[in-house]
Amino acid sequence: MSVSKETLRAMTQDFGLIELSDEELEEVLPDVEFQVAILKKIRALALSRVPPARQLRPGEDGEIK
Amino acid sequence: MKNREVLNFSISELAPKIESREVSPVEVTQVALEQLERVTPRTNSFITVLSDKALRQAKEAEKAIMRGDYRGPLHGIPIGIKDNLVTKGIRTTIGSKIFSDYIPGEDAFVVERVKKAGAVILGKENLHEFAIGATSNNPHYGAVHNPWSLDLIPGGSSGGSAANVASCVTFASFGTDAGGSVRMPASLCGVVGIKPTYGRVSQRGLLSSAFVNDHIGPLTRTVRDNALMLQIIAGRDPLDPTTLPVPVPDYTAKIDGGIRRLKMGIPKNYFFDLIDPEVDTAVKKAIIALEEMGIKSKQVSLPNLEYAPALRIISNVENLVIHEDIIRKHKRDYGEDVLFRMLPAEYATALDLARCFRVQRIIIDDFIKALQEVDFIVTPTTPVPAYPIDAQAITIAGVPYSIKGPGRSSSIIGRNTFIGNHIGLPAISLPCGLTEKGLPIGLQLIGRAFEEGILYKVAYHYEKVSPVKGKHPRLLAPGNSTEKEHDG
Repeated sequence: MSVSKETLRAMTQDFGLIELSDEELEEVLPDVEFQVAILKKIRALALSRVPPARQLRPGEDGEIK
Repeated sequence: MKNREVLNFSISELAPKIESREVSPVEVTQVALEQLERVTPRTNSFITVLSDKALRQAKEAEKAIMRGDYRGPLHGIPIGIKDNLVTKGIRTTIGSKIFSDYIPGEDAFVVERVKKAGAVILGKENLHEFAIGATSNNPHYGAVHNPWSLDLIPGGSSGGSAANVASCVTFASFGTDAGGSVRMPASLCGVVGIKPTYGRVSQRGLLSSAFVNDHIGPLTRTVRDNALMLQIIAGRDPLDPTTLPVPVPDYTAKIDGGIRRLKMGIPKNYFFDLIDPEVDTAVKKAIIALEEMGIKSKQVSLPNLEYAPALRIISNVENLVIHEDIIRKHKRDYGEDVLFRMLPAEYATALDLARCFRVQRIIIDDFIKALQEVDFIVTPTTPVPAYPIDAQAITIAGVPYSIKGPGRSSSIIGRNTFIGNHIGLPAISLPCGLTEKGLPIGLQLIGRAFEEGILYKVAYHYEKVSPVKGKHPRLLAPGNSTEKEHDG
């Protein structure tokens, strides 16, 4: 998925993110695109019914609760 | 006994000799420091060496033994501490230029514990900058070199720790593992390393770059030594709310107990999908060896690992939250690899992160379900053996993969380990073979929460038949007076 430098620059400015030079934006762009592709894939998952995260602990019978 | 021979002993072998006064902690420390001087100019495995302090600690340890105050198997044993664990009055750099003069006012929990146990600390060990990376090519303190072949990476981020254990400088070292940083270097340097269950060991005093997935674990030359080390540091710390009040079993008491009734899971998907053929062969031979010991094997499915890259986004966001303010002030003092690995996380939204945490949960469920059918899961630790420090690409099964750029190395070498950090379950790496070029290959065993004891038991039995048993890097092994380059 294509993301433009202009989009990143606007986000940086509007959200007060860490300032990056043109060269730095260029460097970061492919990894942002990769990240966006991952996020697009997981948006397609049905995640609304996933139970909340919990700590791991052993049960009295050795089962994980 | 010739002095340098003591370096060939494991902790389990040496401790009774120290207790019985056959060997003195001062003698052991002097010999270890000689080995350090001989070896570390080539491995670059320390950032700060503590020769004088170590000798003072050794003398104190000796005096204590002479007055009948023997404190247990770590008493008088030289060890190393990764340089992201705080040490009172001793600089702790985290492998960063920014913290090059940072001198903490207290010890990390694990450092307190080993000091109390009488250990002798030889120094603070080199690592990947901020412990965020898999190579230990540190831009500020220099790359760590693999003692099996000095042109190669030792793995990371605990590269100095693994190199020191493998080259018999330390008998054990502490690493930290937020994505495989104990297990990857253990695999590439041919030593044993464990990432305990999340909550098993206090993280207090770990200058972590990730709250939710970091762990402290020992690297050792043998499985039994690893169990001894975990014994000393495991347990609840009231000052670290991530630790849980789960009783700590005696890991070594039953380490040689029966394993015939155990079941192991072989993943049908993901872990064997991208793998160097030599690693594949060695791991499959290890599985056969475990079956021959009577362990039943069963294929297990972990379907949601397809979405595992979402876990990396969690790590990157975690890293950036911790580093954001420092980056604003000191951006130029970061190595490019670490800086540009974190920055993309700025552009993930809160909603995206919440989704990633749900993906984490469904992956945890996959493992919990699988571990109801089997007692542990077997995988390769790293898909590849060590590769050249200056490599831009590596070839796996004839296909080239670029490792140039932020996080690229971790995405290949850490592919099989970073999952464990997000599921919180214990995982151990131990040597299971050597490549044709003589480079170590690691076997990973993943277990149920707080069942490190089962992993140790299986690993202990396998270690006895491992083709790597008793093998050290030829160049750096104590007793080898030939200063000849290892051809591996």
